Amino acid sequence: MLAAFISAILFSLNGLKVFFIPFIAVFLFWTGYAFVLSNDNNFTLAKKIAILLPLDGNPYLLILVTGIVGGLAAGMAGIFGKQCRELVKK
Amino acid sequence: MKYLKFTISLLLTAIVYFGLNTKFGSVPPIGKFLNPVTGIWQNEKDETISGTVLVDGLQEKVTIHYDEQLIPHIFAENENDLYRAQGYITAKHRLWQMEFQTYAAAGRLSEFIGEAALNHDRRQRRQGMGFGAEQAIDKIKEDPETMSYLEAYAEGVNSYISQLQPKDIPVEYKLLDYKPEPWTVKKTALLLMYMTKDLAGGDNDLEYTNALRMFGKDRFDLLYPDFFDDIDPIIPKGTDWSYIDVPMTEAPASELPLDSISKTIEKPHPDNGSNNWAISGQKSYSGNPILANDPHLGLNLPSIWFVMQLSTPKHSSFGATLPGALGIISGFNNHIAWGETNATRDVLDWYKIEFKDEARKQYKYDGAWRTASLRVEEIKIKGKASFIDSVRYTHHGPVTYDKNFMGDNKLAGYAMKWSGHIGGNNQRTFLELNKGKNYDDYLNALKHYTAPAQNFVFASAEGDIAIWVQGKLPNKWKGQGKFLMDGSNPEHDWQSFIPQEFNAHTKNPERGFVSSANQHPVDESYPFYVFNDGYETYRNRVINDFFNSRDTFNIQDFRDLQNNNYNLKAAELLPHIFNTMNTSSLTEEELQIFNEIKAWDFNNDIDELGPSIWSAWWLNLHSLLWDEYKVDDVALKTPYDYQTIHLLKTKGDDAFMDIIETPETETAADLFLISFKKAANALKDWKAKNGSYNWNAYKATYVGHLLQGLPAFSRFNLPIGGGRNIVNATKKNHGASWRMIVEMSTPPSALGIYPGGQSGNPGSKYYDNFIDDWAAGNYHTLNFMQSDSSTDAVIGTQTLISN
Repeated sequence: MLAAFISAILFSLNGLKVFFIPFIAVFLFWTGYAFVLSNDNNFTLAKKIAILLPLDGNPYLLILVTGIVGGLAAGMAGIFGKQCRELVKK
Repeated sequence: MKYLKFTISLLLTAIVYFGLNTKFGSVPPIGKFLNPVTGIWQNEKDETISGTVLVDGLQEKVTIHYDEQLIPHIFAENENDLYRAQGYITAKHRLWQMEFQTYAAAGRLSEFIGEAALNHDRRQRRQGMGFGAEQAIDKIKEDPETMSYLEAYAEGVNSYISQLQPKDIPVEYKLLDYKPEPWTVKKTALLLMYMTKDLAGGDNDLEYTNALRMFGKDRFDLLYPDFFDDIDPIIPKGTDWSYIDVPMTEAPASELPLDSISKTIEKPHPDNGSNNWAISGQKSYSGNPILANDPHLGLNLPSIWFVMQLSTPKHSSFGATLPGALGIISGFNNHIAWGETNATRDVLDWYKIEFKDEARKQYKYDGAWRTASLRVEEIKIKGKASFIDSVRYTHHGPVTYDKNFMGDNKLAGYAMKWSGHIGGNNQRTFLELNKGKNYDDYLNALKHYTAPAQNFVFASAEGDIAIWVQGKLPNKWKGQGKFLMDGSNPEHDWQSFIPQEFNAHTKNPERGFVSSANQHPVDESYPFYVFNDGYETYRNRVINDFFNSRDTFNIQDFRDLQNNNYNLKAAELLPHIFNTMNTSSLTEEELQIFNEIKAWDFNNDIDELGPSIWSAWWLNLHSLLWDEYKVDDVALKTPYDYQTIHLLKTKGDDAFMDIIETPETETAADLFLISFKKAANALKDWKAKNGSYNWNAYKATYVGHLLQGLPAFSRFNLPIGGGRNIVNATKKNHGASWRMIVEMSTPPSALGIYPGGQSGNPGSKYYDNFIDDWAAGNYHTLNFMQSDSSTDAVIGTQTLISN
């Protein structure tokens, strides 16, 4: 969240991009990294965590949720960063 | 406007941040949990089994060879390094489990589970679990050598914890949002208390007091006899006890407090027990003695056992260890083998305490007022203020039940006298067994052992077999401890202990084998009082009949016996029922089910229907017979199954057969019919919902994760037969937690398996990889490495060197 916040302060984006650029960036990072780690291990733990969280044992769904959670946090921080920037702008 | 937008976004950001990093109820902090850099994705791997690791305090290099079962074979140059390495390696694979079990024993689960665990924690404190651990440590301090090993073990564990990165901590910590804390010698003592409670922490004294009050002495003795009509004890009948020159304590002529107790504290699983046996060279196909052990405990993941080899240049042992404790508990070395079953003698008694006044600083004893001490237990609760529980301690032990906990009398309470509170250096027993070379070494090792009392089976390459019922056992007067006792009467105290050398035992008996399955230790000729209701009466007879049936046995025989599904209990009651029950009123559906069980061969095999029908029938029969026991607010325990069946077969017209609710007076034959119809109905419903009621589907054996069987980390519907009071003692969630067979050749050859896996990480392929083989009755060959050179069997080698 911090990285998204700082980036948003430094780089001015407009409109929906403020949310979606950081959202997509972190979404891709989290899903990609999670996939690589889990795939290497035959999704052994992912399948179990996907039972723990009500995702029907589907590891791909878990990866998707992972991406959304990360992206959401980043997007929110991006918006907040933009608002801070707006606040101090003359 | 921009201030408004700013404020809203600030609020939303704060909510999102807070929401993703906080645990809500049982939901973990989702952001942290799913973050691939720090969260569960980092646990998608096996533990490292190669490379060099720096460990504080090592004197010399330690080599660990891993085989394909992920069993670590530890080769150290000295004892201190050996136990340090055992601590490190066990932590590497099972840290969370070690911590969880010791937090549970200490009554500290509320710290990370929250208020839901408060009652559990209060119970542990009031049972004196911490107190017992402290007493044990005081005793161990008299033995600096063992103490130094315990410290080395703790330091080994801490060496592991200190190098653990937050991203690599086990999944359960991430799920519950807490971190590991340093290991201490006290935690090892707590782990041993955890086992002591599970195995020797049971009693029914308060329930029997209620029953005595309700039924009177004659009826009580009929229901709970000291010895059943026919027993097959651990130490064979006819053993000569004439060398025992210490008498049984004389019973005092005094009154028992016949209180009414409405509810009692939770007990350990009543089936916690085991099988073990050993045959002499004469009875063995090869001339080498063969020993077997299968402890029966709750089936959990991670498994209670962790298999290891522990070697120094002077000694080398192999077998199952208990994560958190030192040495090999059930196993063997190059000269001897050993195993345990629970001795289940009543070593937990309750004393009624009368306080002088509401200050509860003094209690009545021997006609005067004696000072009670106070132990303040602070129970920390996650997210709330600590709970303070003040427990009074008397010379008997902690006053567990009082006005603040499960009691309602301001000036009274029940104090617990428990052998688990007597500080014992039980750890030393196992360390000495690990190094033992012969029967004398085994005997010397046992002398330190106080609790939980176990039947230690023994076999040596030299050719000896033996079994000792070992523990610090009170020399009770006849009837002592069956009921609540008078805490103010000195005659009710435990007067003395049975001298260790007079504990029941046998060495190289004529019959050529030794065995135990939690049955009566001795027959009535033994001169000390050994009562405990709940002594096994079935498994022991099947085992002993088997060994008496032939002259020679081999390894396959041992495998078959450990997996034997014969239901002796059903075989002893069903024929009688078939002879006496009137089937004329059975419907067609009921008759079909009746014929199914009539065709059953009494083996609890997975594809049989008989065991399920029996199970439902027995449940209903038992419930109808003992309807007198369903009394609100009175804690009671029904008689043991053997005596229940004895009454059904020989006293079919007894008053107990009557069902109170009905106007008619029922007899045993009536109960058979009524309970059968109820069972048939239940099975019909079950079948409609679930399909065929074969034993596999009906029993539905599962191995549950320690967090109350968290489904994601548990294994369900395991295809294994057996059941309660059957040699293959596998019930729904309880059974053979380890199976071992050792032939005392030179070097010994051994088989072993357990329902779990060496890794405690649900993300590892070694988490539960043994389970399918265990269910199928298969075993692994245990690779007892004779030197520290690597072989083809080694899949990875890790070296520990000093930091």
